[in-house]
Amino acid sequence: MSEGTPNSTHFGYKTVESDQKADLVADVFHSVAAKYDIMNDVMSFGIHRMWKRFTIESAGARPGMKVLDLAGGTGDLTAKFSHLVGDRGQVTLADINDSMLKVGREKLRNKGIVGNVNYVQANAEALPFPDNHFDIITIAFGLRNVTDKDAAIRSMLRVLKPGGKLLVLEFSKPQHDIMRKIYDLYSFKILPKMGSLITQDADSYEYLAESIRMHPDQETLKGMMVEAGFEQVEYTNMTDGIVALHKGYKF
Amino acid sequence: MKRELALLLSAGLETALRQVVAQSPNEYAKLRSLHGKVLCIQLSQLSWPIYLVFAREIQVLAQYEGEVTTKVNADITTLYQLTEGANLTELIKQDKLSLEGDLNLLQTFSHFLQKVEFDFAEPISTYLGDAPTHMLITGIEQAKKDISQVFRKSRSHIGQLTTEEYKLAPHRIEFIYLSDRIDDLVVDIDAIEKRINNLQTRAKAKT
Repeated sequence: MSEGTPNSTHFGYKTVESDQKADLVADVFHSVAAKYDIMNDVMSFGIHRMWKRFTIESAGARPGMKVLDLAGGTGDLTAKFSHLVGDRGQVTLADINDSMLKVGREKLRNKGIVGNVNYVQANAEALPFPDNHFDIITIAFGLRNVTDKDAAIRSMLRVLKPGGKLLVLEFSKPQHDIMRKIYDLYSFKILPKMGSLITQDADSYEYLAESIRMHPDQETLKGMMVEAGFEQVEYTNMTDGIVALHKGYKF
Repeated sequence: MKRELALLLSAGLETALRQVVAQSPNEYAKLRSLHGKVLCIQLSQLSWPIYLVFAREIQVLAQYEGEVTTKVNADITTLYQLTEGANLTELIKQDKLSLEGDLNLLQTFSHFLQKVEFDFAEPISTYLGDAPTHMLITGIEQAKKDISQVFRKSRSHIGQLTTEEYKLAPHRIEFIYLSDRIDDLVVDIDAIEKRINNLQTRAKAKT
């Protein structure tokens, strides 16, 4: 990773002590949790629904499967998986941030999704689940905020059943220069303004834009997954690579 | 591009089905036995299949790796006929629709769709209020009537214009008269043919 010293990591463009990052990220999400969903829709013009839908389709969930929705936030993916795996299956919504988890649980309960969903507050770097437990693990827009990404990927590999798959949906690097320019303009100039208008919190959205730039690009992340021990790792670019879905199997 | 299209279509269909279920939650609750079953529809107009996964909310996917309960290959118009109450076995006999797996699932689902009555006014009224909704709905109905009337009128108008005014096409009666005369001609030709044949056989007999 691109950390400067062994004990420091990046928080957006700032370099902070490794043990501080989790708290800083937590602050960001505590402050945006309540308006997370509406901000997602506004900021991505609703396209995030398409990204998530594609993730669901790629996951190939079937009745009876055990699914872990890591950093599941407000439970968009969990809701879908809950319908797909049916009564015999099980979906675990895990997030490190209890504010997000509360919002997610509230939302899912209001939708009547109760039977097959569990809620766990967990750190992706040290998942509190037995080995070989899940058929599918998804982490959508979450890996970016994890302090030690390699440890997180290894931890996911551990709890995944042989034959299971990991799906990482995360911001990545746009493939064309023109798209990159538009994207930079949008995320550095317009996004924080929108953030401050809707949630009176420009800093959090500045962090969002910066953390996206600091996140490893498609090939790097693929390399990290291969190194951790995933096989048949491949990625699909969406919206010209603004977002990429990485998929890897454990055998 | 195809991927986005498939995703958009699935999303649209899912939203539409959610509305359908919301229209008659009681009817859908009766379909509890369908939960966990998967209906795959391969439309001849689309290059990808549509999977309907039945659950508390019907999920629509463009790719599904699990077990499919019923697979239907059909035309979109045929499917529409099915929701309008056409007989399933009749359609299969006519080769308009082919089906693999459980026939029951499709039948139950098409019955459900037939029973659903759309009440567009109800969801709209929560946004607009009752009176404006009533005005809107009656307005739309009136507009529909007016448009179909204009359509009908202009059709007869064009018909009259071509037959009476510009004489581009024959009038109905003229056409019938022509047909009658052609029929007469056919009869006459048959008679002449017979006579010629008779004369030929007679001439052969003499020589």
